[in-house]
Amino acid sequence: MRRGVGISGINQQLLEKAKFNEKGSELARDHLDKLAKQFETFRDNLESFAEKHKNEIKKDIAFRRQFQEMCATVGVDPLASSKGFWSQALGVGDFYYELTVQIVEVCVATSSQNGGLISLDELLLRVRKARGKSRSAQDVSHDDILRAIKKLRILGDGFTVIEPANNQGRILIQSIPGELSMDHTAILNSLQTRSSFTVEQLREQFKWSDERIKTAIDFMIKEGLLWIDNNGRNIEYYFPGLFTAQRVTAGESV
Amino acid sequence: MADRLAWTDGQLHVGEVMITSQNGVSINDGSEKTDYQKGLITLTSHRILWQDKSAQIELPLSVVIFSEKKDASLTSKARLICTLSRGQEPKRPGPFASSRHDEIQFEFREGGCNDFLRLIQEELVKKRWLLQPVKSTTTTTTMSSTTSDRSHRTGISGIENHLQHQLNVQHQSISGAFQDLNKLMQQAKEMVNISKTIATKIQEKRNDLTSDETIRFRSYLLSLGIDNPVTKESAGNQYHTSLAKELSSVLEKALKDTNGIMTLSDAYCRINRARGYELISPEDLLNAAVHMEELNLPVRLRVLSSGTKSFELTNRNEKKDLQEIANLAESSISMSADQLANLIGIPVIVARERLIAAETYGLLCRDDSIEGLRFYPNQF
Repeated sequence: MRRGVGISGINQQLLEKAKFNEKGSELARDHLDKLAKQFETFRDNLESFAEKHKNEIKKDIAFRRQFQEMCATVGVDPLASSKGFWSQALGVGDFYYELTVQIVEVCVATSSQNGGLISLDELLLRVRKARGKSRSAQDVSHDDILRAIKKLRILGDGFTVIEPANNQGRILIQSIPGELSMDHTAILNSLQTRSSFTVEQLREQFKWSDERIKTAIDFMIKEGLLWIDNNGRNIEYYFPGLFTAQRVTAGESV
Repeated sequence: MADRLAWTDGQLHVGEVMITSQNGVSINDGSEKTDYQKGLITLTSHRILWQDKSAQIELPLSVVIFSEKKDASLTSKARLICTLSRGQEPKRPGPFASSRHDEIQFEFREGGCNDFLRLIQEELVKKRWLLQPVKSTTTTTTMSSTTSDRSHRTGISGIENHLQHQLNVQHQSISGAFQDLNKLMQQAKEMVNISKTIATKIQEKRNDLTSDETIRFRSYLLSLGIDNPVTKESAGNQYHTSLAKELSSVLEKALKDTNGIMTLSDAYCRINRARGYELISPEDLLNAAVHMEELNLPVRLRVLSSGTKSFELTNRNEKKDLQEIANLAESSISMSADQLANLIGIPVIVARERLIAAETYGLLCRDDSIEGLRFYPNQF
């Protein structure tokens, strides 16, 4: 499409603009033509942007997050398709899609131990480990992981993010489908600095009936999320997923 | 560099925002313990604040050149290490008159080191204290760094200045990048608005677009990543149909190894690992998958009753498959999902689904107890 240049070009543009602003001219086709023009300009601008800043997106966590948030505000999804502009020009696609693969692999590897429940911190640590020692491999943040998981959910394999109450506390990732009820998540969220609890503690904290407590506990044991520690004195229940989360928070490596 | 710590009243300055806090943090001068143990550390956009019952101390972020984490060991919990610059400003009154070390370590006795590190690194990039002069410390810092630029090119201060210079350059290029990003986003936003208008017209059937034009429109939406119901009913988008064919041949081989059935995330990993670069997105996979059946490909998408999606070989015979599973259950008296998964090498979710499907066909009966869900051959 020949972009108008010179005087005749200006006239042409004026004409088109007039035609467009005319009250009657509301044809979808005219809109489409306008879109097409903007598209070409945008493509050029995106390419120069990419030349200058492609590396920054890959390396700079804060910049990447800013980029993602702006895209979300504007209403575009840079990760929707590998054939999308963003992916092709900036390479954001490969960064996130590879991260997605790594997340799945970590979850599969740890699920036999934690029943498919892992803290975001632990997941991040393990993914970084999987990415290797080079500096750029370490430039992955919590935000990146959450975005990648959001994409993963499309595949319908049960990836869920369990947010803490009032956004205060640990974020947990569930990678095996199993519907956790509000009671279950309430128990999980109450254990911010511990990984185990007793029936007495639940009764004290939530004031639930014994029946209700038993139902919740039984379900989670069945699902492989909860283990029983019967040490003679009292019975403690603990989440292997949270147990390792505690170690990670304390700064131990996994 | 503990002499860089100064007393403070803890009040936030104009334009300073609080970012996060953590309890149970002790201050070390270099690696030596100090009297300031187990206090509350607070990160703001301009400073690190620390307080306990007896004292309130601050450390301006402008003197932090670099921060990193030291993992927990036998003798200590995780530590945040801040390397500080040796500035030229007069020393302000603080808890330490002098120090032999170039760094301050914060030991996080109750956890929180990872998050704090991440946030402080973000603040060190943003350098918000440069945006608004807070008291007069900022101006003296910039002044001193230029004088020291000229006079101290050697030794540790030379290295420090170089680091600071690099950080400044990086900061400038990043703020330049933010500006470019802003411009780009403005354009993107305009296009999103036009697309909405067109899409509305299409939905209200007020459009006069030919099918070619509609295809063109869809491709714009796809390229930009604009989510729109119009793209959902994609009647054979070319990219996705050719992708479907490509994936189907890759998956056909893989499915032979996994007993004819595979979850989508498993497929996603295998496909992208095999590709190595130019990876596909989860949406691409799904959009390609929905077309497979109509294209008569040897692999197709199947949605299990729980909503889990999987790939299977088209020529799988459902009834025969379930009968085989029932037979397996019979030969081991009873069967649970993970037993089945281990036995024939399929994921647990799929195994569970297969057992439930066999139950629906009347081939198996369930026994649901706290020890798990088991299935028995149906004697009824």
